[in-house]
Order: sequence, then structure tokens, then C-alpha cells
Amino acid sequence: MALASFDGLCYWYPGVPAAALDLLRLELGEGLTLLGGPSGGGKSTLLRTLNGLVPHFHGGRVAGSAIVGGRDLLRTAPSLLSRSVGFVFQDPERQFVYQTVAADVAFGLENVGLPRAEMGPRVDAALESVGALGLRDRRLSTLSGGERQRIALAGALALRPPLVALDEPTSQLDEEGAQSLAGALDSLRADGVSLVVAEHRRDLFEHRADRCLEVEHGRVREGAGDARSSPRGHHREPVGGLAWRLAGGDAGHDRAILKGLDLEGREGEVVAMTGLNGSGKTTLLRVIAGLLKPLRGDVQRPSGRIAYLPQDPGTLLHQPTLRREVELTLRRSGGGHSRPSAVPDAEPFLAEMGLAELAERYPRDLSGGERQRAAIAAVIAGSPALALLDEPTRGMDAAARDRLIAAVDRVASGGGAVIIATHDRELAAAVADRVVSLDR
Amino acid sequence: MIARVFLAILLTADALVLLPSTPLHPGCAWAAGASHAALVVEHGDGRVLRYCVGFNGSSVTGEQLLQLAHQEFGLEYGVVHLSQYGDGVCQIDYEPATYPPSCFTGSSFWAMFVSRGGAAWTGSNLGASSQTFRDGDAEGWHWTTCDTGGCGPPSPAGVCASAPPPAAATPVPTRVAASNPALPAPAAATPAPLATSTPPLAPTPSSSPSVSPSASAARAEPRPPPTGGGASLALATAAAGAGAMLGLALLRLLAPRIGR
Amino acid sequence: MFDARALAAWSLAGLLLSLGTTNPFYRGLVALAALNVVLATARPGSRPRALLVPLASAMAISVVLNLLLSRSGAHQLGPVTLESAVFGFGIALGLAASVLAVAPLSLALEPNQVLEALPGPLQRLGLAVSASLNLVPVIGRSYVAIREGQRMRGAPAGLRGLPEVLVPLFLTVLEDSIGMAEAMEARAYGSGPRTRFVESSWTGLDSLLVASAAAAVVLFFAFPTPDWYPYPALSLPPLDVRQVAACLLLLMPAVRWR
Repeated sequence: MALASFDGLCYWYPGVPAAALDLLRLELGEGLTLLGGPSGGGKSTLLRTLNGLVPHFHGGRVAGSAIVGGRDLLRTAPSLLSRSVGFVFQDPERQFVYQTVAADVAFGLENVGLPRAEMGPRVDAALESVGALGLRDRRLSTLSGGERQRIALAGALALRPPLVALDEPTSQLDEEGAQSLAGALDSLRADGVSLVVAEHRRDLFEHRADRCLEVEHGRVREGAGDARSSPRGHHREPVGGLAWRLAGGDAGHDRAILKGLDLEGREGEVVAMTGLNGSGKTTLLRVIAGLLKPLRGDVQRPSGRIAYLPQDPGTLLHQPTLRREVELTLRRSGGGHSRPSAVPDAEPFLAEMGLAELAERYPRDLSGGERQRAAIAAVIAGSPALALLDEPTRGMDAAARDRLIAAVDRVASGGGAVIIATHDRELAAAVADRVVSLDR
Repeated sequence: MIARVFLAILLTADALVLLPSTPLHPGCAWAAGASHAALVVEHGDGRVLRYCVGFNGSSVTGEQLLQLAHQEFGLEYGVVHLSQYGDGVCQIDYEPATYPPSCFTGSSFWAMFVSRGGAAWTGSNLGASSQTFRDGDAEGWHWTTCDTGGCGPPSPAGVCASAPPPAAATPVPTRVAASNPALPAPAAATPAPLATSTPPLAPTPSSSPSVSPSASAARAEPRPPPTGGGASLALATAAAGAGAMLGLALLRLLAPRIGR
Repeated sequence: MFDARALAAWSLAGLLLSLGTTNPFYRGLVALAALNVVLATARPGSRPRALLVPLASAMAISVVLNLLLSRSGAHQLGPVTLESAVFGFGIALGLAASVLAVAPLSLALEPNQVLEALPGPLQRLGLAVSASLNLVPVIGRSYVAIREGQRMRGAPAGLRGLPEVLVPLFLTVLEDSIGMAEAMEARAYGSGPRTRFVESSWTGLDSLLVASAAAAVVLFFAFPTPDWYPYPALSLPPLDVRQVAACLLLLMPAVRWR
């Protein structure tokens, strides 16, 4: 029996003329279903129809019909639908209500009014099924990202739903965390829980999926989607002299996380720094950017503009349109190496990141991956002498990643030095001239 | 004849006017009431007022005694309610001329004394609204800078004689003259007439206020011990406890690893 | 180590003792006992010293203020009197005792322990506070990241650059809150009457704590000494050994019960 069936369901977000979902007939069954497709294509929206957040929480217009878990989607509140569909969100830091593991896993049980005596065993069972029983009495703030996502999964499982939806659960995790979560999903499948997962990390999920769907422009079709673009080999010779250097450096806040560093980069060179979360990549970038003083040693920076892309760059966006956001940076930097012009031209930089169509949109309304691209465009527009990028490919689809690689190429070819901190080794291989590993 | 009548009327009128303005028969003033306590007030300049105040019931507070003295004899006094202390006596018989809302100012104050059953004065450890007096006790007030037993006013002995003199003056209609704030200290009239019923009265003080003229001056009475449980034991326990806690706390603050 | 409700009972006892007397000896004993309890029960990561410094300043101000405002008292020391100094010190001790009596509720307990101990009708409020608590560090990090990011983009420093930091921060906080609400609804929040998952951690030690706190209160107020006042002339405050014992009973949580 289908867990969810859609019949001509169409959905429009409030104030957006284009339909976010345009489904003809779709049925979701047992096993693991993988949703792929470009960001902004409708994966998240489709997932949210499974527990009624769309349309009931987000508003907007809806047409057609859908049955989820035997209930009419349009007439049932999310709080009721949630009893048969669990949901795991993307961000391991923004979905927990309590501070301890056991208490948070029990949150769903509290909401349905389960008698207190029955909660303990259910919490334990849920933690067991994701392999996190040993974390039962821990405080959430002490857990790693991967551990937290497993706890979130346990929280969704506590209500024993037949179906669990996961919205890009590994996008904020490093390799280790992603692996542990994927392993947990394996054991769930073995237990007979059905899963619908929206993910960009195909390598991790393709072989686990019973079925693959592509969601693009709100439409769903079967299949695994376009082949990945092959990583390009790199043969660019660094053209210039010394661009930046960190000599004899210790970096950290109170204590040194990194010690005795001697690093340098040339103009036109792309350096990738790899390492797991917590290895100090961000700290090192901040020291080189000048936002943090090194505990020892000193830093040489190039003259000219330094572009810095933080880990969650969408938070920087605040202008009414995307175009204005890019123009702001160009105005401030005077266009970088090129001659300062009266009206900064944002077009080439928007087009570079595939954002030409979205130029007039409010940046905060864009989907996750689109926002990421928008923020990158806003930060590295122009010709920076040094560009520092912290985890730029978080939550990005393959097409966007290609555009990022092209943009980095552009900066490097113009004589700028680039440093990318990432745990995405494929990105490093595709774009970097040199890789520095920070793993201990 | 008419002159004598006039003189008589004049004298009577004078008496009627003057009598209430003096603390009439302060020594042998006797008031109705089942119980009696003496009230002795010594001003800073040495003037002394003495009253035998009657009250019903077995005990009254010091403030109630003052109130009764006001009702029965016209004694004026001022109090301010102090939140943790009860009522503080700030002014008696217009000394000091003015006082602030916080009652006390400067280094002199109305020091309160207690005499139990005719014993010598001891300093009162309670305020006027908390200290109690029974039949035969005495309440003393002295405008001074110290409140130990040796600083008390003249002795209360004989202020309340054991039996009321039959011709005791009826409680004088006091209000009229006594409320005149400009009245100068009527000290001059005080001492002499008392000698009849207050035999061992010490010479009334005319010397400086800081020297207590009463016979009790030489005696330095110890303060009454605090109520309950033995003061020295409590003090010792408190000191030991405080010292230990202070030491532990310092240890924890300065060397956290050791303290745990 | 202690249940939140037991510790709250102890704090209440400390408050009652420190505010129920004017006697500086008792206040000092309560303050010392509470200080030891704070230092002994503070959880690792909390910083009791951060509390002690402002408290000491407040105490010093209280004494100085009283010295300046009150000139009465029998024992003159130049322009000030001993009585006013002692009175100010009595107030300072009361302040210290009250603050230290309540301090363990934030230094020894985690915030969620306090929230979990809230009675039934306040549970929804506790839930809202708890969810917000989780977002606070996130917002803090967002603020730093936005400030640095905008600075690197060339935003002017100081007040002129503030809107470029505050506007996106506000939008981020809004988005985070909506996301939290979404997550709560995705777990059936609002679908009907709720029950509570409370893992009671009440031990014998907690019962002992409540008993000792109650005993302290009873002992202290059953054998009262008269109210003490330094004015108009300083005298030794009265002491009762039973009341001293009551103050020392407050030391119970500081003892290592292992």
C-alpha cells in the first residue's frame, strides 16, 4: 500500500507566482526513496507535504489532492499528520527543544499525551534504533553534528511513524558525521521503516536507495538525474609573487588549536585546507583574514580587497534584491583591480553563479542552495586580492558546485589568491592547486 | 476687704495657671491605677522630672508609660517609628527642640534605663515599644551620649511611695499650659517641694549633664545578658562556625582543586 | 547533585533567615554558609567568582552610602559614626546573604533543571524558554559571524555600520524561530493535551536537604531574639545558640556526602 499518494497536487508559496509543486500522479511506497534535483527545485516542498507543513504551516495556495498515511492532506493539521510521518531537518542546531538527549527525544511523546510510564521504554527504543543509546544522558550541546542528527532522527522515531522524511540531513555534517547518519538509516531500513530523503550527496545514498526521483521546477520524474560533471584536472601555474603568509603561527582562542604553522600562498594560487569539523579550519581562515589575532607569529596579507565567505553566508544578506546585494560589495570595493566605474555592474557576477533570473528577488526568500550561491556572488564579486571561503559547498547541488569552481577559477586567473576550507575532498581535488590537511 | 478678695482670686488664678506648667509634685505625683512604675527623666543640663505613673494590667511598655505620663501629667514627648526597631523616642519635654525623621542626630540621644523592683539602673537593651515594666519597676531617660548602666538618671527610689498620700493631688488638668511649646524649662520650681516624700533624693543635678549625679553613678552595672541560651555559648559557637566557614570558603576560592 | 526543588527549598530557607532578622551576626553566618554552598555546588563551567566581585562592590557601596547619609550615633569617628558604619554593614550582610542564598539556583543547576522543576501551569512557559535557550548560542554565533562578514565586505565600523549587522541578524533570528516552530509542529506539538516526561531524580539527599532547611527555619523563628538596631548607641547584638545552630544548618549542601 502506498504510504503517500498525490493526485494533481499543485502548490504555490505565498506571493510567488510560479508553482513550487506541480505533481501529476505520484505514489511513495516502502523502502528508501531518494529525492534529487537542483536546489530550489521543490525537494523540500515535496517533503513538507508529507507531514502537512505544506500547506498548513507555510500558507499559500494549493490545488489537487493528496492522501498521506491514510489521511487527507488538505484537511488534516500537521500536528496530526506528524504522528504518522517523522521529519528530520537540515540544521542540527536549530531543531531541539530541550537540552538533554532523553528529554528531547521524548518531546513528541509528550505532545501526543502518552502516559508518563510508557515514555521511558519508547525513548530507549528510539535511541537504540539509531545506535545512540549510550548518549541517553548527555547534554545536546556536547554532541557533534552527526550525533545530533541521529538524536533528531530518534526524536522523530519515538512516535513510531511508518514513514520518516529527511531534508538534506547531512548537508551540515562532515564526512564522519554523514557516514554515521547513513549507517543509522541503514538499520532503520532493516527494521522496516520507510524513508524519503532529499540529498545532494549522491555518493552516499545512491546505492542505498530503493528508488530515485528527480524534482525540478516542482515536477517529479523517475531516475537518477544528470551525470555529475567530472572533476577537472588542474594545470594552472600560479602566476605571481607571494600573496599571503602565516609564519610561526599558533592559532586559537584561549588555547592554541593549531601550532607552529608555516603557510604561504602565491597570487593566482588556490589552496584548499581540509580536515574534519573542529580541526581548526575556520579559526585559521579568520586569522589569515585578520579577524582573529594569532597567538604567536604573524600574518602577511596582500594589499587590496580581501573577500571572506563565512560558514553560513546567507545570514549576511539584507538588501531588497540580489542585484543590490552584489552592487553593495562592488561599490565598496571600487571594483577591485579594474577601473572603478560610476555604476557597478553586477551582471557578470550574477551570471557567473547562475543567478541572472533571480537578480530581482529578495535574497532571503531564496531556497537554501540558491541563497548559498547568492551569498557567494555577493562576497566574491569584483576582483579580490585574496578570497577566503569557509565551507562554500554546504547544501549545494552539483550544478552550483560547478559554478563555484568556475568563479574560483575566475578569481585566480585575475591574480587573486584563494584559500578554501572544506571537508569536501572532491571539491578540493577539482579546484585546488595545493591541499593542506589539518587533521591531527 | 475687696482687695483681699481680689488678691485671693488673683492668687488662685495664678496657681491655676502656674501649677500645671510645672511638673506638679513630680516626686509625689500619684495617679490612679492598679500598678505603678516610676518614670525619671533627666535633661542634658541636669534638670530632672519624676513621675509615678499608674497603669492597669500587669505590665506596660516603656512607650505606653510615656503615653500615660502624657495623659496624667502632661509630659510631652515625640517618637518616630523605625522599621526594625519599633518606636524610637526622639524628644522628651522639648529636648531636643527639633528632631529629624530619622529620629537620631548628633551624638546625644535619649538613653533608656530600666530598674527592676527598685534595683539600680541598667541600660535597656530593648526599645521603648518593646521594653516592658511591671508594678514596682522604673523607667529612666537621660539625654546623654552613653547608655550603659552608669549613665542613668537619678535614682527612682521613692518616686512611687508605697501608699498613696490621702490628699494626693488629683490628676491635674494638664493640657492647657503644658502644650505651650515656648514654655521655658520650669526647672527652677522642681526640686524643693519634693523633699517630703522622697527622702533619699540625691541633690538635684545642676552640674554638667555628662556627670551623673545619682548615687548610682559609681556603680557600673553590667548589662543584662541577652535572652535565651547563654550568650557566651552562642558567641563561641557563632565565632567557631564563622571562622570555619570563612576558612573553607577562602580555600575553595583560592585553591579550587584542594577544596573539592 | 541536588534536585531543583530541594535546592529551591534551601534557598527559601536562606532568604527567610537573612531577611527575617536585622542581627548582623546571623546575617553574616547565613552569608558564609551560603557562600560555602555556592562554591561547593557550582557546576563545572559556571563561574561563581563572576558573582562575587559585583556582590562585594554592592556591599562596599552600601556601607559607604550609609556612612555619608547618616550622621547619628554615639561613637563619633571624625565626620562619621561607628553606628552608621555598622548599620551599613548590616545591610551589606543582608544583601550578601540573600543573593548567595539564591545563587545556587543558577550556578549549581542547569537552566533546564530549573525549567523542568516548574509546576504544571507554567510548563508551556518553560517549554518556550527552553527552546529559546537552545537558540541563544546560535544567535550569538550568528551575530559574530555577521559582524565579521559585513566588516570584511567593507561595512563602516562603529554606529554607522550597525544597521548592516542588526538587520540581517534580526532576519536570521526570525528565520531561526520559524524553523524552530516548524520543527516543533513536525513533532505533533499542538495536537492535544500534553503529558510531561519527567525523570525524577529525587534522592535521599534531597529529602535530607529539605528537612534541614525546614529545621533551620523552625529553629530560627521558634527562639527569636529581639530585633537589634545599632542606633542610637552601639551594643552587642543578642545571640541565641539555637539560632546560631539554625544558621549553621544551612551548610548542609556544602558537605561532601560521598
